[in-house]
Amino acid sequence: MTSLLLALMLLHHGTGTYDSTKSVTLSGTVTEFAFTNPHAALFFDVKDANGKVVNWAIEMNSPGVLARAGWTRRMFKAGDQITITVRPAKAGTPVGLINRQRPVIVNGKEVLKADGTANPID
Amino acid sequence: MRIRSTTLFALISILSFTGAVFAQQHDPRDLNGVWARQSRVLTMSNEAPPMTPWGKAKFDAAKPVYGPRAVPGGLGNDPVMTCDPLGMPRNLFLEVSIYPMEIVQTPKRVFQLFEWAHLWREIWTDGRALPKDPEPRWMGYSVGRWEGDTFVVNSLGFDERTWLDHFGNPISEDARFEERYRRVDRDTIELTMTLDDPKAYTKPWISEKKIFKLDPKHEIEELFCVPSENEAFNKRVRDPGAGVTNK
Repeated sequence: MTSLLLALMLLHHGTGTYDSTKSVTLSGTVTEFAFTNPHAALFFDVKDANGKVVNWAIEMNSPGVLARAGWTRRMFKAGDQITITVRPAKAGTPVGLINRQRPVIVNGKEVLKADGTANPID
Repeated sequence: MRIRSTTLFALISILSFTGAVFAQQHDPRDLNGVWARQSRVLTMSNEAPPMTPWGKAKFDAAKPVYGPRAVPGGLGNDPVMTCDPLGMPRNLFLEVSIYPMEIVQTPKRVFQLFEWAHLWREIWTDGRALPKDPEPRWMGYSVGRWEGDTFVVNSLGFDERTWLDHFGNPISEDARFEERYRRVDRDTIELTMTLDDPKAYTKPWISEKKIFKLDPKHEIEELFCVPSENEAFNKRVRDPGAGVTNK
């Protein structure tokens, strides 16, 4: 088992934080969009099956790269209902890297198509 | 009639030849423009030369957050995680393959403007020699000259606190670094590099050929690594992502 994991890790040249083999789609309520350098981050509350609210943090690319792909700092605001897909942290904590191979939906509207643009390096 | 068709043929030949020349036209000694890296090999090449004991110790102390030895962001010690300068030659590797670089030529200096960290590098072309035994600098010291249509840059005086690349390969103050830039057509610059660092490696490390493509529509963005914003990001995203708790 350990050697298999090691082999997978050696094959994978991405970041050490996120599991690029997994993709999780989450829906919840935005608490904050930090359009910060060198990485933007989106925070939002997700209710789990037991009704417990967990605040997720999503790592994104730099504002400059996001702006080139048509993003703005007003793209998400507190209270927005969003559906977003992430590569989850290997640690199992509520942290993920945005997966732009899937669309981003805000208040029922697809604001970003599944086009892979401005995906952070993974 | 015969004369007319010959004339017409000649005219068409001249026009199409001129068109072809204009389409291909570029001055090989003009490197101005915004250039984006094509290769995703994020260091000199895939195969590092054998390290000296000093180099190996430095390599072992490095905990990269990228590549085969990657640890989660919150557990790594890559200088980039605290917005420390990447320094040279590292600015030519991962970041420049994501965020482009602009080259600006002036009579006595060539500048490289790196989008990452909103940083510039100066390469003196006024004929000066490299300093002898200089104080180390993040960006080192660089002079450039033309060998035919190849722009050759020689550098030294790097700061040992930098990593060579995102994999945590070492570089020492004794390193000498040569870059050879060649604009092979209007849209393409080829770059090969040699790192000669006897304190860190047992033999020179010669790079594979790197390709930069002209990106005429791109304007260099303001992309600072902002320490306060980055620290907040580390606490709120990287640390929990690594399972590190901090209150």
